[in-house]
Amino acid sequence: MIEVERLTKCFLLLGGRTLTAVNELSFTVRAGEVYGLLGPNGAGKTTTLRMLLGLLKPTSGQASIAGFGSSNHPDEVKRRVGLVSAGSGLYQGLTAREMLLFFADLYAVPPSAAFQELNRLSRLLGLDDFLEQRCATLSTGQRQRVNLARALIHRPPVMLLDEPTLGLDVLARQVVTEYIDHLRQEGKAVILTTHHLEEAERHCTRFGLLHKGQLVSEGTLADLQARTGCTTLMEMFLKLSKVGPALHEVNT
Amino acid sequence: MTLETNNLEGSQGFRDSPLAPRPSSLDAVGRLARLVRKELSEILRDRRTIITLVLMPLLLYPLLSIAFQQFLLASKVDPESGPAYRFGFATEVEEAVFAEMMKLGERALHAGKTREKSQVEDERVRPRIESGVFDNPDAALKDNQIDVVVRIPDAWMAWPLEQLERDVALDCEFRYLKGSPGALGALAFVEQRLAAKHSSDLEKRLRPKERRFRPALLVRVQRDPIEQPGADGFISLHALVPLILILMTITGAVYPAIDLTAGERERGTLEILVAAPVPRLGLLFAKYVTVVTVAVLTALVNLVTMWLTLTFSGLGATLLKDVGFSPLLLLQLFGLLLLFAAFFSAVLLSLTSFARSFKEAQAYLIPLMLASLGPGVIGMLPGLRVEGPLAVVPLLNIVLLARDLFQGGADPLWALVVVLSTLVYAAAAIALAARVFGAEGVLYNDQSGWADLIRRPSQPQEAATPSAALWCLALMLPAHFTLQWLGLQLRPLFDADAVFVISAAAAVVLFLGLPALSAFFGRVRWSSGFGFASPRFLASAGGLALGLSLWPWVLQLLAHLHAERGAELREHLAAFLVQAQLASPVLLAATFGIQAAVEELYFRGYLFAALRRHMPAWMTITVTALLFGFLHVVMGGAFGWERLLPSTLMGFVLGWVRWRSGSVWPCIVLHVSHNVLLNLAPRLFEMSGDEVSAGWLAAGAVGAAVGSMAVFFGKPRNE
Ligand SMILES: Nc1ncnc2c1ncn2[C@@H]1O[C@H](COP(=O)(O)OP(=O)(O)O)[C@@H](O)[C@H]1O
Ligand SMILES: [Mg+2]
Repeated sequence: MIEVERLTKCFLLLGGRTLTAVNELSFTVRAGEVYGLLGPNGAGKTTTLRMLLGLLKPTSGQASIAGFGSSNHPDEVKRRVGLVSAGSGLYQGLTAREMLLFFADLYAVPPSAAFQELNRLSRLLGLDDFLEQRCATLSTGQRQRVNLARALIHRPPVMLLDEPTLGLDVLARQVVTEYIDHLRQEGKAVILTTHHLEEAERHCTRFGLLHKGQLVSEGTLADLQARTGCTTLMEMFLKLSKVGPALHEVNT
Repeated sequence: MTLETNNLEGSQGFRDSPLAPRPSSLDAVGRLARLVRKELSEILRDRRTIITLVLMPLLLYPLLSIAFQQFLLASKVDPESGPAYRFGFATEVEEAVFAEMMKLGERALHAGKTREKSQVEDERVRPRIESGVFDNPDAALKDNQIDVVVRIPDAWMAWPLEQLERDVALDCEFRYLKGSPGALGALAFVEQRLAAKHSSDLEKRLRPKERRFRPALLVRVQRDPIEQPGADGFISLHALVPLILILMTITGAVYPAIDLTAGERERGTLEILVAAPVPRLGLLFAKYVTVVTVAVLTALVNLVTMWLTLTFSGLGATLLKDVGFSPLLLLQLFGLLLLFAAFFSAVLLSLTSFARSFKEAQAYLIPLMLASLGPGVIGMLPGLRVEGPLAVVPLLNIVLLARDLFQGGADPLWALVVVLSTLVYAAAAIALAARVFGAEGVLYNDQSGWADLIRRPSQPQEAATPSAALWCLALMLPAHFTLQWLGLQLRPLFDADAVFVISAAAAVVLFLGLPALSAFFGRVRWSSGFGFASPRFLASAGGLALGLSLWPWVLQLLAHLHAERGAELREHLAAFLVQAQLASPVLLAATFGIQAAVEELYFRGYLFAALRRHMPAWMTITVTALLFGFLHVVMGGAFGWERLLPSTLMGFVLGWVRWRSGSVWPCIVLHVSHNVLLNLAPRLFEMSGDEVSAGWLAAGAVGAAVGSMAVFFGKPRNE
């Protein structure tokens, strides 16, 4: 469903330096899989997802979804993807219902189908209580739920979740957890990026460990355990990326 | 939480399910309407929009009151005792007769008024009359010592007035500076009194009981406005109108423009918006409609408040008397408002699309505001009219049009040019906005992203985007006038023949250079993007036949149209013909041929291909034909208007040939042969140019019929 081939992105920084945010990245994700793209802050996870969606142009390499290249057929790709990211906002002036129907419209979902889908998602995510409330008045948890519903309103076969639990409390995180379970049951191809390793361990069927834009290791938890001799993702991560102590010792 | 699964559709998405048929163009219109509704409902719920709507009048009225004060000063109104109208006379008899008439008029007016209470004039602003006898009243007028010169040549016949024995009719001439508010107030004042006197005389005469014969004095009034020398005496209200409209529409459009573009990014909705498969142009167009709506709404609220202020302050009675608010004028005012809003909303949107935050957007807007006041002030200069190049200067053209409308009407045809060129500029600005909005650089704060705006697409494109093709057109207008100006500067350096070479070169730059650049940056395939597919021989032959036979008819049409404008045009034409007679026919033919060929490359080549991918054939033909005609009007100089009809008609023919033959070549053949013959025929066949003989017309008709048939059957085989 998702194919990423030697994807590379260089940013030109002020002062003429270039930064390779993603370096020759390749992986595939099949329908029904939840792929965990893991890495510390700045590893290039978000940049990868943006290129997948065609929002950023890759410097080289390509990404495709359902056979459509994201630079050649951006609309075909966008149509098939639902995006949830920590930074997504809501239209403050619209009610939750208007917001969801607006996005259904953007994705050209016929009104009757949009209405049905809205009811289904509203039940699924418990939006009924604040569906008629302006988004400006919603709590953080409620906003996240509206966002989760918004990403699903056009029934995309592919979901990109970029740190969906960032800044949420335990309860709201539980919603995300069940949401991801739901996505897997529906047979969607999901990419989940996070630096929360326990969370990834719970959800993902396969993992890609990303460090400084490069894929350091890839496989199921069992694969990775066999290959590295570590039992948890945390240990593996520390080992593979050869991260030393975070604070250097200073002799006094 | 209940978790339902629906694997069947879940993995497919709506797009591939039978639920979602491909959207038709009607759906697209409906969706656009819904997009607009969403933007509008969001923006109108915003407290800040409402504040602008209300705050605007508060900001504006101090400014307006300053304008009024200017105005009052100019018309020497003392708010305590009302305005003073100053009349000048050449002789004392005239002064005396005039004073007497005014006295009687005043009395008649008051007699009438006590009966019709509703018309009572506001006592506070009751004007005074001042008058004087001058050796040279016209000089006094120009020195602004008086408002009006009154000339009553036969005044002695009515003096003294009480001893009148028979009816007397006097001619009375009012001479004043055109547009002077004081004079217009004074004239209205005088005419009102004269009318009262006349009607009361008439009434008395008709009264059945009246036995005594009362001789009546009849005054025929004639206004004689004279052009102002320098016009620095006063700022007329008319010149302020465009400035006020500019302020109103800008203020109304600024907030929504920022909110709908930079605001999206600031609130974090920009990414999810551009992650949806909607064309940016559609998104931006919906935003544009919204901004225009709010701008017009704001301006309307303001106009109404302004009107109310004027009416209730009593100023309106003096100020607006000479403006005369007819329904037509109100309609024109509204049209102007729309035009300003259409222009500013597009420009604002394209600017704010670059911004990544409210603050940044506001920083971009300050220069725009300052820049817009320029044309507003230039528009006050006397002597500028909406004509020729000025009709396509952005913003200034609207300002001048506004002024002309209020000073006794504008030429409707030039007004059309103003409207069309403004729409072209607005379309170009929206296209730019659509390109910038949500581009990498704006979306992710990234420096390298800017290069994206001019980066060529990675894949070759079949045809240009309509916005790229329209941008060419928008650039052609200023480029044309710049080149024309350069040509005029260089003219003394060259002989007469060089003029033709220069004009051909200019045409190549405009119609070939600009589209070629655009095609390069858009990585447009030359063959498909310009319609270079090879046509069938029959189609080319048909094009040639049409090109050889349409000219007598066009010549006849031109002669007919020229006749309507008469001598003025004949002079221009004669000058041109003399030049053309002198030049060698080969050079002339080459010039006209090249001009025709490159025009085809753009209109039936680049533009046609770009539009055809987005609209049905008939619409493409119509749009290209209208733009073709429009361009000839603007670039045609003195012959402009005469070319609208012939050029547009030719545009339809050429568009049809392009569509039918699937290639630009037959159009080039047609246009080149047509242009060469049209310009050389009068000389080659020794025609007068005033009348085309029936023989030529008949031959032309036959040839055209044959040519059309050939093109009709020359449709490419594979279609
Ligand atoms: N628009 C940009 N311009 C310049 N550098 C960027 C831009 N976006 C991301 N980067 C850099 O690319 C690297 C990867 O960023 P990102 O993909 O956001 O990491 P992650 O999501 O894994 O935390 C970082 O070093 C970041 O500073
Ligand atoms: Mg990130």
